[in-house]
Amino acid sequence: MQIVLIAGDGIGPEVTAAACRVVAAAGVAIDWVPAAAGVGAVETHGEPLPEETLNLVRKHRVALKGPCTTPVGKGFRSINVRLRKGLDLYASVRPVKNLPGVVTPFTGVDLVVVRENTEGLYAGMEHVVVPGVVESLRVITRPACERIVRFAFELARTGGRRLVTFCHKADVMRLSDGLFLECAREVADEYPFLRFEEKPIDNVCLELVMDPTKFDVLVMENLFGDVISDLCAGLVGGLGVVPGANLGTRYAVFEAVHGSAPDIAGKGLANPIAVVRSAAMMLDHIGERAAAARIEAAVVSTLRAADGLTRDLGGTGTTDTLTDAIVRRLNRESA
Amino acid sequence: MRNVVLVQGGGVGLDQEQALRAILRAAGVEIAFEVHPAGRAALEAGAAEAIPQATLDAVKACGVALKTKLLQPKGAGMPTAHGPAVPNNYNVEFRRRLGLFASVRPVRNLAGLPSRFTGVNFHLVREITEDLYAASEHEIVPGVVQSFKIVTEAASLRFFRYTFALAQRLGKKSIHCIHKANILKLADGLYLDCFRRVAVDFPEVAAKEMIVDNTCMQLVSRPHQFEILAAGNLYGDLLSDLGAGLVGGISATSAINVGDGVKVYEAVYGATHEAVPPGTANPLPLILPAVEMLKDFGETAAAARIIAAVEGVLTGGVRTADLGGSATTATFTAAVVDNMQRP
Repeated sequence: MQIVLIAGDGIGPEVTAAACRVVAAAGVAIDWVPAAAGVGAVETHGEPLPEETLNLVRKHRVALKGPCTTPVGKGFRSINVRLRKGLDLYASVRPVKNLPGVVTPFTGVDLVVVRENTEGLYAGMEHVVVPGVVESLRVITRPACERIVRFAFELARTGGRRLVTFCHKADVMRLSDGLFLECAREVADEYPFLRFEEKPIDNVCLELVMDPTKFDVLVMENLFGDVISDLCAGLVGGLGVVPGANLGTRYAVFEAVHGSAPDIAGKGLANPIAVVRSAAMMLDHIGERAAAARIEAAVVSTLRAADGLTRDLGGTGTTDTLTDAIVRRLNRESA
Repeated sequence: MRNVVLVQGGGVGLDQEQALRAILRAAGVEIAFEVHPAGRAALEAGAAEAIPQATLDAVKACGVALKTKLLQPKGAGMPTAHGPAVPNNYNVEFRRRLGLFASVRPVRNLAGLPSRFTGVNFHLVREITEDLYAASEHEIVPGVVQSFKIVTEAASLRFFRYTFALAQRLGKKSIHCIHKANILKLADGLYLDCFRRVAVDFPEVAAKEMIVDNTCMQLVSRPHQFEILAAGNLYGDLLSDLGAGLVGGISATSAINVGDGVKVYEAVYGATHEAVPPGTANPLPLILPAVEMLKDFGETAAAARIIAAVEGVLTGGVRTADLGGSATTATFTAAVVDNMQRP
């Protein structure tokens, strides 16, 4: 099985290497195909997201990706935005769940944020109408709305979840979110066996920090999803521990959503858990469900035992000690 | 005696008004309220429009208003692109017609109100004239809609001048400008540029910048790092509700909406009597903006007494139904009045 590995910048190579070790320890033989992206790719290929990298994902269909830095001030567009557009990865999926040992004021959180990835304000269509007056276009189309809401319902149905919450601001954006809301209701109609609710996005913000346990699957537009994904990550300890995936009809890219942390790059101090858990999501996606579940269990057990934890998790360990702790649990189990 | 226009939106606003009057009386503050109905309450009182010009004229003439939440007409659902026509959000319309440009939301804990965090104390300042709330949108062909996010230099500069002056007045040492300029390079780029230009004139206030998604994560993990957040209309909408959630929900909220020569102290939360039966509403969503108004009037002692009494009552476990208690509006109010009258 060949899968593309985009190691990325900064701590990317360290944390993705850790993930590869964990996947191997879970007993899945993957032939990783390296591909370049980020600042390093500018040096080797002249651009942060080389066409060659996109073509490798097109060929092998699935990729695991570390953090990539978009170079600032050289007119480069965001690597992530281009990757999503270039591969039509229309759905961003962010499962958010409390982990043992990662203490936050919130408990019992277990939800999935589904974000539409291709439209909204992120198309980057902006112009200066006259000096001092700027317009950005927020584009919403029926096909994109329908497919993302259907994606959320399918995720709920196949993942044993019961409730889909559609988040919007239709009382203000009556046409764009009004269209999205119409589509959401129509798709919801196809799933009478699941609960559906629609909520204004501001209410969702309030309710998430009051009682996140009442949410299950949340689905929304691009910008709302960007904001809510990170809000929810904050509920359970931040970007260092939550996995992510960007999925389309043809391709799938699994990635940690944290930054490349150049300040600790190369020092062996980075926490690999977000990428390790993203790799578990990847295994689940390709049908290696048992291996995926074993990795999740090993991560949970490692955190519960506070074994080898990195500094951001309150330990004194390194990328290696934490990876060793996870690998040891996987080996013990298969022994 | 101070004159204040009370913009009454009806529903639980009516219960909140009675509670407020009793509490102000107990605090020894004399305010002459000139009551004007608006929104659904105006329509039900026979007015030709939901936001009567007379109400707006009264607010402008007086300069200060206290407002309960305006309610949409009975049976009006959420608007959809092709569904039945629904009137514009009256609260947004009200702010627009009065030219209100900044909404200040104090976010701080009330003792006795259960919340995930304690010691939170920041102000969220939201621009309220442009962004996607300009509601400029159209359906290009069936199924393809475009909405415009508008950002102007003039509105941004006015907004940041107000926000920095507010920081100075409140003795705050930093402002975080909340943006997404990494993606919206022109729109949020212009907004950020205006922030930096105004910041130059206020060297004693630290001008900080933070991307909106990171801001959400920071707010739910380390809210104490913030003193003032300055956000555009949409981000500000989300962040102000997030902030309310941090300190225990709608009971701890108030909005001070500012225009040229006009200030409107608003209850952010309201509901119909169908949703919340008469006499059972939590009056705090109107008490808190009224307390902010008292502070601006220089009635700081009375403001502090009211807050102390409210906190005493909440700590003693007297709560309305929305907070899981069994107090009615009247019994909760009586408890606050009683607390204030204790020696």
